[in-house]
Order: sequence, then structure tokens, then C-alpha cells
Amino acid sequence: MIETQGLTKRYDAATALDSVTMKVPEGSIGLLGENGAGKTTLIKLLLGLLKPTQGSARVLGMDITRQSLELRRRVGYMPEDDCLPLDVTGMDFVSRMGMISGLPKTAAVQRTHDVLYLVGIGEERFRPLGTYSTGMKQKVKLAQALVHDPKLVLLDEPTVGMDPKGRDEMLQLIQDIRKKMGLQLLVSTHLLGDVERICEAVVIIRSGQLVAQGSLKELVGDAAESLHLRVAGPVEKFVDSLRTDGLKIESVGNLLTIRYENDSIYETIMKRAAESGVQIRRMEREAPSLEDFFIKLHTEEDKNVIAS
Amino acid sequence: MSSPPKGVIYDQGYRPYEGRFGGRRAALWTMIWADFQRALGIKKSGWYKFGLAFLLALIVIPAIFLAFTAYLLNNLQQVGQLELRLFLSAYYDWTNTWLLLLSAMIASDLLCNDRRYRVLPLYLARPIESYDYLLAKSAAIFGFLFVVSLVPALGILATKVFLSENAIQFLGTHGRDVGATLLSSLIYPVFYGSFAMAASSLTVSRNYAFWGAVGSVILSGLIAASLLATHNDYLSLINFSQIVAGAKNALYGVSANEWVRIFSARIETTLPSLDPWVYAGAYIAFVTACASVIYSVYRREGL
Repeated sequence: MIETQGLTKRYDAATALDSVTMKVPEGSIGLLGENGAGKTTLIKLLLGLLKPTQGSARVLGMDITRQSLELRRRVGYMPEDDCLPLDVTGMDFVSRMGMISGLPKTAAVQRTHDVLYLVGIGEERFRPLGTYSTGMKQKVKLAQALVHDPKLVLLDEPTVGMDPKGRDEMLQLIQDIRKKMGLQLLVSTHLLGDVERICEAVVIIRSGQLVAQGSLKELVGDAAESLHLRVAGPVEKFVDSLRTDGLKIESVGNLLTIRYENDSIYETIMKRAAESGVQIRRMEREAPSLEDFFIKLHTEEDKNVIAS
Repeated sequence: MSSPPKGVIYDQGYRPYEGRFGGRRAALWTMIWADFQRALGIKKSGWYKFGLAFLLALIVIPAIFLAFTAYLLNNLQQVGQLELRLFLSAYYDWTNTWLLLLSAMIASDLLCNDRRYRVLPLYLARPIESYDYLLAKSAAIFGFLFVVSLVPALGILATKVFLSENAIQFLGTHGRDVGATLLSSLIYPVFYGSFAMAASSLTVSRNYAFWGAVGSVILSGLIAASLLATHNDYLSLINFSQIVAGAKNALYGVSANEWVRIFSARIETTLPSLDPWVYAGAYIAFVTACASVIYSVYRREGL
């Protein structure tokens, strides 16, 4: 879907993107990174809105510098910023964007109605955009990215500024779009939860450099599962006995986190709890998450920095 | 018994698009037409429509007055025939200020809002070249102003043609004036349109853009007037309006404000009059400077 080779973007004093080489498969891909990592620069380069300082990239098989017009016909873009003219109706705005994308007027109007209905904008489509709530504006931004039937949609922080309910609706909408329309998605965000919910693979960027990429399963698989326990009684004796069994434990007061190895761990915990006279009030198993992978990534990087 | 009618689906919901896509030209035309409609006041507030109607009236009324004057003078044999160019030159001098106001109003509305609401990335993400955005804005602004300034002038021309004994001969004799009218209807919109666009590109506030453009021209006029005592005709070019007026006068082959002869041949005018090439050079330099300002601002915005 997206291939880059040494893609670099430098401004006068800063390097926004530094020699990024990646191959992103089709599907729903998360582009993760902190604020200022280079995500929006990468998106603008892929859209052909910026010229790379060095390197090349192909999106949907098209070169971003030589075929940028054709590329933008097949790609939809939902920017992060508030970018809607407040004195134009939703209907007028989305249909105009459709016509500028090359749709004939009749098709643009028909498709505008279809996509606005799809994203959940009803009769409000005939009101000026200035009267819309934040959630509705995000939906209109998504609608203008879909109106011309793109093959790939680039979403830059799609849930920014939304309340929890609105975020949930937007994420569900994006999932539905992916399933029902079969669109390829590139979702740029700094929210790990959003990526875990809607993406199949992840590209992680930090300070303009690619630090990791792969499917969620590949990246998160390295991180171990954990057991979280809340106990009552002689905690230290219990912890010491578990450590002698070779278990890795972190404890804070009566809260213990034990690295899960295999199912035999339960038997060991129960046995040692009975011997120590400890009551297990709560035990919870936690699957590895992207956050665990991030923490691991940070820890390894910090170690490298200290070592150097 | 006949079977009940089968259901008909009128709305099949979202479907992939399988039709043709227009090219860049279609996209450009869409943008130009949308901006032209906006300039016309379509789907704009009542105040905008009122302001637009008021300014259009101020532009048309002088043309009606001059056409009527031409009709009256045609019947006053002792005055004789006054040249067509005087009437047309007068029209542009009288409507100069209203064209400036109209340019400032339209340009500020079309340019400031898009930057204020940061809509540019959505346009640039479309299959258009980066300069197409400004191309469309310019075409809409210049096109609108061209129509507004040309049509009343053609009304004056039509009146003179109607009053002449032989229309074809009249047009043949006054071919230069017809050409000058077409060109004047172009140079005024380009001049004031580019200046208004430059002022609008420097701010996201429509009010600041409007009053900045209008105030700059007024200020330039005041400064030039205060320097009249130096009797240096080149200093008259400090007055922005004088640049385009001088170019227009060169096209018609009239001196500054020569049209006063319509009302009295005894009135003398002593306004500056430079070589036509000076006005042409000043005009080109002014428009180029405005274009440079617009380009540099929008380049920073991502164009």
C-alpha cells in the first residue's frame, strides 16, 4: 500500500523526517508517535503536498512526486485541525469538495447525501458548519475525505477534541468504513487505545525516525502477560517465597504484579499463599498491550542512551 | 388475483463510484464558479448583499448619467459632438473609487475566510496543482470585476452607437475607443483586484483586509496631494489610483480629467500627465509587487 525509501524532509534548521524506509501492507495501519514526531509531515509527503528533501515513496503504486495529481484522486485526507468554513452548509461544502475531486455535479450531490448519511449527519447537513458540534465537524471532515470514493484514507488524529462517547462513535464508524467499504486506512494518532481498537498493524515514529513497524500481534507478542494480585496478610513472606520459586514479582504495598509464564503459576501462587497465610483478595490476568510495547521500547532506548 | 407490486429501492445507500472523473480543468472551473457565486452574494448574509447592491448601483448610475448626457448633448447642435472617449474615460474616473471598494469587499471575503478557518489543506489534498487555488480565486475576482466594469461602459458605447447616423461607420471610426474600453475594463480589475488580494493575504480578518486596502489607497492619495506643491509629476505616482488612471488615459489618448469638457470647454485642468510608458511601467511594477506579496504569503501556507 505504502512504500518509502530513505524518505527525508528537512526544513531550514530542523529535520522533520529522517531517512524513513518502510513497507506498509494493505489494511488498517496505525501511524503512532508523540506530538512533533513527524506523523503529519509524513502524511503530507505521502499526499504529495510536500516535496521530499531526499528519498522516494510510492502510495497505491504511484510515485508521490511524479503522480501526485492522480494519487490525490484516489486518496482521501482528514486533517487534524479545525478546517471547515463556518459559513457554508455541510451539504454545500462536501459536494464542492467532491466536484473539485473530479465528480460530476449530479454524482457529487448524490454521493454527498450518501456519505453524510453514512457518517450520521442527518438534516443538519443543510445548516452552516459553524452551528455544528465538535463531533459533527469531525464527521463532516471524514465525509469530505470519503465523498470521491478513495481507495486509501489518511486520518490525522480522527478523535481529537471529542468526548468519550464521541470518540467511541468515531472509532466505530472508522471500523465500519473499513469493513463495509473495504477502504485502506492510515490512522495517525498518539492514542494507543485508538490504534489497538481499529488497526491491524502499526508504524511507530519518533523524532522523525522509524523505530518500529509490524502487525500488532508481532509487536505486542514480545511483551509478557502479567498477573495482578491484591493480597492481605504477611505480604513480604509471601513475596519472598514466590521469588525463591523463580517468579518475577513487583510489589507495591499489598498489590503484586507477577510476570505470567504458564498456567502452572496458579498452582505455585495458591500453594505459597496457603503456606504464608496470605489471603488473595483479587487476581487478574492482563494481556500484553501496545502500551507495554511502548514502555519496553522507551526502556530499551533509555538504556541505549545511558550506555552511549 | 395479481401479485402485489414488488418493492422498489430508491436509496441504495453508499455505493462505490463507477463513473467518470473530470480532470484538473473541471476542478478549476468548479472552484472559479463557486467563488464567482460567492462574489455575487449567493448564500451570503443580507449585509453583504446590501453592500454589493449599493456598490453596483454606484457603478451603474454614472454610466446611466453619462449615457443620458450623451443623448442630451447629441440634441444640442451648438455644443457639437463630443468624443466617445471622453464619456468612457469619465465613466472610469467616476467609478474608480467604487471599483476599489468592491475589490476590497470581494477579495477579503474570498481569501480571508479560507485562511482564517484553515481550509487550505482540504483544497490542496484534492487533485489540483498547488497554484490552482490562487488561480481560481484570481479568475473569480478579476472576472467578476471585469463584468461589473465592462457592462456599464458598453451601455455608454451602445448609446453613442444608437445616436450615430451609421452604426457600423461609427464603430469603425471608434475602434480604438472600443479596444480601450475592453482593456480598461481589464486593467482596473487587475489593478484593484491584485491590490485587494495582497491586502487580504496579509490578514485573516476581513475587516482589516478591507479597510487596509481602502485606507492604503486613500493615504497614498493624501500623501501625493500634499506633494503637489513640489510640481514633480512623478510624485503623483505615489497616489495608487493615479497609476491605473494614467494607464487608462493613455489607452484613450486623453489627458487627466479631460472629460470635464463634457460640461464646459472653458474649465482648465492642471493635473499631472506623464508619458504613457511611465504609467505602463508603474502599473506593471505595482501589480507584480502585489503578486509577489500574495505568492510569498501563500507559499508559507503550503502552496
